Amino acid sequence: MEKNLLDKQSLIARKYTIMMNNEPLDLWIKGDRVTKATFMDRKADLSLSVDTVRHIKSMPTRLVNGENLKNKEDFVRKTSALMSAQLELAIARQDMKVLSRFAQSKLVPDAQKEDFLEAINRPNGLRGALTKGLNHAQQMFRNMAQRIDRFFDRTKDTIANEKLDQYLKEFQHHEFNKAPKFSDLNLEQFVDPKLQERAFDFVKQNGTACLSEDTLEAKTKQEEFLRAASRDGHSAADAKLALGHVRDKELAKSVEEGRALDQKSLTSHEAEINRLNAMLAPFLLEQAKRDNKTEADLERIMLDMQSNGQDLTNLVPFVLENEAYKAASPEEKWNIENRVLYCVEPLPERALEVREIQKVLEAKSPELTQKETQVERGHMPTQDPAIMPATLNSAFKELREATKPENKPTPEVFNQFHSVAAIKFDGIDINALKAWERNALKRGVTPERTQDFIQRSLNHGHVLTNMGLMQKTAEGVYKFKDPAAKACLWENRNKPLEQLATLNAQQATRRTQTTTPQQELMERVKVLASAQSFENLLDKQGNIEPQKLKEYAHTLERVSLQLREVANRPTITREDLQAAKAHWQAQSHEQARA
Amino acid sequence: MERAQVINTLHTQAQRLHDAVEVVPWTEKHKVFDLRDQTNILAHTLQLEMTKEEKLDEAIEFISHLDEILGFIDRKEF
Repeated sequence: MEKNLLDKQSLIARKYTIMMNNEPLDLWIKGDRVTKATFMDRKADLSLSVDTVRHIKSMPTRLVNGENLKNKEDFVRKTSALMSAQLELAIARQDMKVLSRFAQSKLVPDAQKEDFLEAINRPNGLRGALTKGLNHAQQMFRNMAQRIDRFFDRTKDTIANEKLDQYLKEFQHHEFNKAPKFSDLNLEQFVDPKLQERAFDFVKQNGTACLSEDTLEAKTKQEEFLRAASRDGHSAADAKLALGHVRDKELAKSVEEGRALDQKSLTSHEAEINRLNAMLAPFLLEQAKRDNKTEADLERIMLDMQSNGQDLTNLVPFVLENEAYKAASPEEKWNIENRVLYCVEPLPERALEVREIQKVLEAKSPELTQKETQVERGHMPTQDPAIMPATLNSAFKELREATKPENKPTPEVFNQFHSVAAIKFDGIDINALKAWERNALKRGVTPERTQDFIQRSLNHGHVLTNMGLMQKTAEGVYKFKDPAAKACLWENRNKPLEQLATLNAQQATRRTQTTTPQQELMERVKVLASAQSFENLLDKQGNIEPQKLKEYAHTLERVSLQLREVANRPTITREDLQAAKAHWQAQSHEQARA
Repeated sequence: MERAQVINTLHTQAQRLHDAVEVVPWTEKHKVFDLRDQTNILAHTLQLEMTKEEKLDEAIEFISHLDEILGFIDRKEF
């Protein structure tokens, strides 16, 4: 019976009136759905959810206060949409009856009642702003939907946030799983810097073990970090990214350290292998001596003999008995002998030794010249009076003219030119020659000629070095050994180069043998007293240069000391000079009085 | 404005819109609801879509619209 009654009731539509701020909304409800709705005497389309309908039906009377349904979002949203649609329709139709009803009702705020009709189409009012906002949001969502279809396929219709959340969670979970590899991206750019810093601090506090994906403890700690970050307004995804970035960096660090460890272990293995080889060596040697079959056996015996400092003639019996040697052809035998018996010396080392010896020899000047230098130092003037700049320049100019290509110079003229040039420029320097080459090339001299000239100059330097006149201080740089060598070259510049060594040696011997210290000192004094010495003290403007004067005074002092020593007299000191000066002044005073 | 800041602002505005439903006229309530939902969705989307920075600019513009709307509501200029 009851069932039939219920069925009967569900077939009959019942009218409910809901007062919306004194404006009635009539609903005909059949079963759990709204079959008809009217608002302001206009038919409206309203489909409420079952839950809302049941709630309305559960009310004690059919006249329901709308305020009681405000907590039903579905009802509020749909009723609002209905009213808005009515208003829109009335505005579109200019239905003044409906519009004036709206204006008089409590649906419109009191402040706007008077100018409701004017305000209704105002674009900068709430209505306009809301419509604009919604349109904008929808446009934006359409744009976004093109990028993330899946998300919006599920949430296309307007659904409540609660419903949305479960999809969000699912989507979030899905996104977590398909996050890009940390190593492929510079994750720092996607993460809030503060959060990133926080992640670094977290790892610092808990150690790198907390970044592990294998242990439960590490995972729990990571979870804590994610929770803490999301509590502070960061998303869990961001927090995870930040942690990932830290992990990435730690991984890179550990890879570097791992490599270092590998290298270390490799070297330790090498040491181990060497130790074992050393242990094995005596046995292998014994076996080699016993078998003496291959060339490798011979080499092993040879190395052993070498390391023990034995003479390799002891190896000859082994070579003669070696099976490989016996079976070899004469040529091969010769090769084996060469390898094992004769060419055992490490050639590169020997070459180095030879080079060292050569360097020592080159640096060491001939004995006689050295003696000469000992006499010369401190006694001879630094510049030979014969090699005066004026004379030198004129000689240089003459030779330069002579070495011009049209004059077809002979090698002697060339040599002479190079000798004088070396004296003029106080040596031969590859850098200076290169600088000259650059200028010469600019002037249109062909590269072949400049190269030829440089080569000749360097060769000349090399020859003079061999003669004992110059020494090689660096690659392509030759300097005179001493002023005497320079003077010798100047004096003998017209003579063939081959004679220079003998002449230099003879001159040195002559000077060593003939010059006595007294004579030398006299020569020095002569030079010091010469007009040239005084001229040297002056600069271009004709003023005395203080530095040069000081040097001159020093030289004088030295020479005077040497003179005293030679004459075996007591040395004149500064006090003596002062006393003499005082005496001289007293004398002059007396003379003046007289 | 940083992304985290944008998301926070969107959440706050969604809450304010939710509260505003009470006071706005009946004819506009559903729009406020819609806006609230869309604001929430936008906030969530920004949290999920990490790589698309261009959305931030759109979201910032959207926030300025919401500010305007909430201004009307606060001043009760319906």
